[in-house]
Amino acid sequence: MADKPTSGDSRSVELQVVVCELADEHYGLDIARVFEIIRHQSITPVPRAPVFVKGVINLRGRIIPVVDLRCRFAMPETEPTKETRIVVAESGSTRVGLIVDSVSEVLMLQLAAVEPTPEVAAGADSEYLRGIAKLGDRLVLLLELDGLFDVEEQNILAGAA
Amino acid sequence: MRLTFDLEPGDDRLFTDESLEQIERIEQGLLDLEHGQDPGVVNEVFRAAHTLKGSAATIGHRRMAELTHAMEDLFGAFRSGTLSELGPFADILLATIDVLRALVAEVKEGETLTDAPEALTAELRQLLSTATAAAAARSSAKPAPMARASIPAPPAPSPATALPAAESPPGADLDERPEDGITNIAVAPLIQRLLSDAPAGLEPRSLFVCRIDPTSEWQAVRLLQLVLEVEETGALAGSVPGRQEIESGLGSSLLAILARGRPSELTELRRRLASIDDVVSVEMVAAPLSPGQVDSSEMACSVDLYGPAESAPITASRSDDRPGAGSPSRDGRQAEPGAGVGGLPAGDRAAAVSERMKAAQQTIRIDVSRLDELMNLVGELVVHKTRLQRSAQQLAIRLGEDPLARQAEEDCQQFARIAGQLQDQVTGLRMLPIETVFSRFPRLVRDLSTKLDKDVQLAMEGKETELDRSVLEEVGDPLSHLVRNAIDHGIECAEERRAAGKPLPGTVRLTARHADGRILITVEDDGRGMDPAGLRRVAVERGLMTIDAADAMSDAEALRIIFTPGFSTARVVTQVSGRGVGMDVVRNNIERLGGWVDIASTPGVGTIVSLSLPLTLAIIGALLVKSGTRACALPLTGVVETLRVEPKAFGRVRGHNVLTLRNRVIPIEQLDSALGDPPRPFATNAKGFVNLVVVRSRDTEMALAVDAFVGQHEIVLKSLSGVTGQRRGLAGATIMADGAVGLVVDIAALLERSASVAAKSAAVA
Repeated sequence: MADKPTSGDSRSVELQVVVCELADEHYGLDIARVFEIIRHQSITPVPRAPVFVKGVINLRGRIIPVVDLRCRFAMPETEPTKETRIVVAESGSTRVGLIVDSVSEVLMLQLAAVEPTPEVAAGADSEYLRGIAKLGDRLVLLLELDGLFDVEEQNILAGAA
Repeated sequence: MRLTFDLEPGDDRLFTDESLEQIERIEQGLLDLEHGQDPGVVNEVFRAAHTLKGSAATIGHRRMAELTHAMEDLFGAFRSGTLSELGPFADILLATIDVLRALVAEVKEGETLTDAPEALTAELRQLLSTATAAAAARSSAKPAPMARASIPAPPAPSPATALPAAESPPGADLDERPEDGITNIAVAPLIQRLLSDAPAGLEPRSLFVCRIDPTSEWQAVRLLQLVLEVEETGALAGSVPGRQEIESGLGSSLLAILARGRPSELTELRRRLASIDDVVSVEMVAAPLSPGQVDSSEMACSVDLYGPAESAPITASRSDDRPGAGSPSRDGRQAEPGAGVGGLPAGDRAAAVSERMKAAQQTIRIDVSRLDELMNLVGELVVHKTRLQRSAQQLAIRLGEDPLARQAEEDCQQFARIAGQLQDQVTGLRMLPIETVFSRFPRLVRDLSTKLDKDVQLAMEGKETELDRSVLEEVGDPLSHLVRNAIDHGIECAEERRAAGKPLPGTVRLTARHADGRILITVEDDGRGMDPAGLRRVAVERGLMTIDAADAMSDAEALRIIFTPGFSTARVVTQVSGRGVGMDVVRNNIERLGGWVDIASTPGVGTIVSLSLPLTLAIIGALLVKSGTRACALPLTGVVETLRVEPKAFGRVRGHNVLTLRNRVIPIEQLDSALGDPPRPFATNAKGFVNLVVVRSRDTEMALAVDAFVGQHEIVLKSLSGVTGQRRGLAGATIMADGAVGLVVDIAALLERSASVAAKSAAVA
């Protein structure tokens, strides 16, 4: 894990992303930080966990915390559907499962096509957005995985929730 | 200032592990030497110091290399007999050990942790030169503990057999050996082995005998360089020591290389070999075509072959497969005189070393995290095994006598058996002998008895008893506490023992053994013992209990008073123990591991404390329950009983539900709300009863209300990582039979949080 790829690698001109849907918005996750994508499964809630942590799941014997991205982004929560997926990714140094409405495709993005997050949209949550990529008439918001949780939240996740 | 070392990232761990191993070896050796001298041990500490010095120098840890060098010199002088006693140096050497540990830690931390080594190095050197001078002046050495003095010559390790002095008897007087303590071994057997290992063709071959500066820190590197240099030219036909031996550190300052070609064709190669740093000389001769033809006169050089001599005689287990190296007395074949007769035992030894090397290669170091990962996967496999079995059974039921279903069921059983064996094996991998913990006690006992001026000996039994790493890590501190207590409070001072007619020294005995699938560890002393009446009195004086309560206790119960928080019987609070925090912490820690502590004592005779612990923490017996939406596992060690009670039978104390059970008042709480979920009404079963699990930790009890009992199972405890789990009253998680995650409750932590509430309720009742 010494030379794990970081999402801020400026040398590459392309970025391969996993595109997920969340409330009709498209979000892109750096594929180098995604371990796997699994179907929604039963989640064991953990007492006193932060509200966005839905609980823990068993991933081939490893127990990982699961975060509801809708909840994280203050979107209305929904019941899981057939399309619901859990994207297992690395945030900071923690392996977490991220619940998304669905996963649509894997895209190769030219970094040149990525624009910084506009001021208006940025707001308080801008640290978890790397930028916005325009693909035809679609907008893909690039998630900054390391910015998803603040330090304290990272600790809570690493510590189990 | 940030320290940097010549290490690849990640190699610091390897360096640390290996160095600590050597340091421990030296420490153990020093302690052993205090009880009587043994040349084997002397050799071992010397070798360990030498290895340590080498690795410190390799990574460029100058301060550590110098300190170990000074230490090695001291051992060397002792080994060669220049120094007659180590006794006077014991304290400073042990202090050196401690500083070395700090120096090793510097590699990991990357900063200076101790400023002691420079002064200590100087002091060791000074002491050595003073002692050497004194020894030279003294005509005869007096026998003393730790003295080498009267030499029961080490059982002929590898006789000093420098050719042609082949008649030199085995076990020749050690003091006639060279000053540096290096045993001389003829090169002939080495060549014999080389030739017999590399069978002759018809092509001409040449033999290089290379000598490296024995004081070089880079011996192994130079040896390898030499071999590789020859290998690059494509001429390499063999070498002794071989490349693998060199890489595993078995080489020393001499190397024999067999190369293809006539000596006349290889002069350039020889020049190149000689130009390698630290190479003192390179001799070249035409090699004979068969082992029997070694002309020893040409090879009549005495050399340090395998480094410091083994002390115990190593007898080769197979002498028949090395025609040139076998002992003539054993295989009946008399080698030609001068063809290495004198060196034959050394040839045996070479064979033995290569045997040992093979054995060494059969163990490997594995990162503990990989074992844990393996354990994880096996746990998962076992879970899936259960599911598969269930599916196969259902298939059989649905399809009736269908042969395929039958086959599936049989295959499943076979699979289950293998998975079970795999689980046993993997669990076994994590087992370590308790020696890894016991090994710290000789030093502890020595230091403590010196500090308290008591005469104490330590006896240990069952060091080889194995238990899981997870338990091993936790058991060290409680045991240290008990050993300290035994010396501080148990063993009397010398006058008191003499007056009582008790033997000197006093004995602290540590034993470990397996019993009923658990490990039983005892700490026993033959000291003053404990007086139940005295304990009762002190407990009352300190306000820990009423006189009536104290009187009502049996003697056995009275002894357990020492586990009460805030209790200490030490008349004076010593530096060592006796602040009244000891025993309750011990008990707490042991119980947290799912173990228990027993104590027995007879005034004037001694005390014995027994710890019973599970062999592993990774797999525990648990009561599985449903609480709210999830499954929870309650470790059986904390479960007292399960009950079904009608809610109307509950009592109320200050707004808390309580249960009166056999005259005890026990608070009732919903399991999930005890863990931190919002409170909710009790769930009842069809008959209107509430399911309760009575749990206990220390003296606190609580009844946990759960939605349903699921059953009793062995579960694999998995970390929720970090200590957060404990704070939440969770010990970890486990994978249930259906693949979902269940939470494992830390009963002790859960009750600790509720203890105040419970105490209040009980007090009111």
